Amino acid sequence: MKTLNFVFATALVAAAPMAPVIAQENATASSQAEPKVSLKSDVMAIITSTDETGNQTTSLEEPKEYTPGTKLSFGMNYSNSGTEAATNVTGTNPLNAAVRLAPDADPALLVSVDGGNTFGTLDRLSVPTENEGTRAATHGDVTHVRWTIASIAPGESGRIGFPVIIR
Amino acid sequence: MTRSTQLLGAVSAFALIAMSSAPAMAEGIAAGTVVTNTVEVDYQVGGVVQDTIEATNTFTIDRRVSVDVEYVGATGVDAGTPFEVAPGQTTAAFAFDVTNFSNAAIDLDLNAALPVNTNSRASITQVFVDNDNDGTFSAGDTVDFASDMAADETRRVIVVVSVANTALDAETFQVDLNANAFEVNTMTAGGTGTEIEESASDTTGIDTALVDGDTGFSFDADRDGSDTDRAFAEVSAANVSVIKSSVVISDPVNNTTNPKAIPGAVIRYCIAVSNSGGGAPATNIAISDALPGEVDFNTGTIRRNTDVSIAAGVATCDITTGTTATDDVVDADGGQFDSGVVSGSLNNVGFDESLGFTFDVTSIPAVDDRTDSSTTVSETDDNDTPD
Repeated sequence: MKTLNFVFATALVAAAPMAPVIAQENATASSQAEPKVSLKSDVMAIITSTDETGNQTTSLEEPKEYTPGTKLSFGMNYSNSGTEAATNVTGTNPLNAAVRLAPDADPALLVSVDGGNTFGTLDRLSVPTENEGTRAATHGDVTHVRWTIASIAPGESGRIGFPVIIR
Repeated sequence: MTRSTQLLGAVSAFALIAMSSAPAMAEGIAAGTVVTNTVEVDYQVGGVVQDTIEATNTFTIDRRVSVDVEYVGATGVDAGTPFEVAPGQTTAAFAFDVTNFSNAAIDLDLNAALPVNTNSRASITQVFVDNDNDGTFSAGDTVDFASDMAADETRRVIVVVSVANTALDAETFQVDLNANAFEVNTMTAGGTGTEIEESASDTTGIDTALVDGDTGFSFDADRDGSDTDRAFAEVSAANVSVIKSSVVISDPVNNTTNPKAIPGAVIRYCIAVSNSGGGAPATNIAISDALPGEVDFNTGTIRRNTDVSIAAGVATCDITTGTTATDDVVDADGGQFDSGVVSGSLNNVGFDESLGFTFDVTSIPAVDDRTDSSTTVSETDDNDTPD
């Protein structure tokens, strides 16, 4: 099936309490520096192919199916059409119970295994067990993923994504 | 500028262990589940925190149709060990487990075939779902299809094969069972249903993907929503041979010292039944020997199930072994003499074994006129190979 994208706040307004100027979509006359960060989330299929020499390459393609075991990339397309850099960009992505973080996700990725209360790299997290002990957290335990981009310069755009597998 | 970042780990090996930690949703999340992915993004401009932006993406879990068929062995509906069938076995039962590895409920159309069938000795008589797991067809078992198989459900399917009683030892055949996915609750007894097919296009609803593999067996292809497994069977028959030998025990002149076959001589017959078949015992062995008119039966000399030694085509029964039988027709001791015919039975003769049936006669007329008696040996259950 096709994906449906809902993008909120595509025309970003400088935060009201702190920014004295109310930005407008076509306020071209304004010389006020303003970031215009837009986001569009997507879901792509991660396709791994092997060439004649045995080299494996992965590519992102429009998913043809969403079936259990399918490997997807949950992604965010961002762009800054403003005139100032957006900094400390942090995305928090609760994982739907239908997917789990893929095992080849970046180990440096900040994740939560407790519903978003605490974040850390997976190797530092643990989850409670039935007999009141704890065990090391695994990819299947991840409830939230958090990614960061230090700065998005004016005019810059890109995509950030992480791999998941449909349960 | 444009950049793309995929937050992939450089090393994936360590994380493979994590695969097993997924909750027990064995074959996956149910088709039709709507998955919404929501991302909240915070950022700053000039050190000032900006409003949170939210973006979402929604997709629907498609239907993954996968069927698995596994041969689990011949069940003991009839006598015999797995893989081995006997000639005349009408209910050789081959058991398969069929599992719905789809993420949705389906029906299964069941078809069996004999891709290898030496001399067409085997025939399929029935394919049924053994819902009550008793190994035999009974009320409540469905024939040729399985209805409403839930995700991850496994059912036992039995293919009943009849083996001709003309089947020879070491003849082989193969039994394939194929299960093909049909839309749930569309199949009816004796009727047809709606076969599940791969969706032609990608829609916003539930699409269907056929994801099973190709096992290489008959009527199975890659991603066709069906699976096949194969059982191998071999006929194991008794191969019965009979040797009848005679030896002069005594004569009126020489007694037992170098006796000659002169009138009045006592002659001992030894009928040896041997089984050189494929492992199946020869059973229900009946012996019938019509004596020629030139000899008289010696009352009380029948011995059954004796040890036998066979050398150079001559069988010798060891009369110190086995058991005696009276000549009485009506008793149940397995041997009798009636109207010029000696008859009786032998115990089952196992593979590579022989048993003897012996009796004595006395020669009446001139030696030159003596002729051999005529023996027939039969097995009433046809569990052998004709010689």
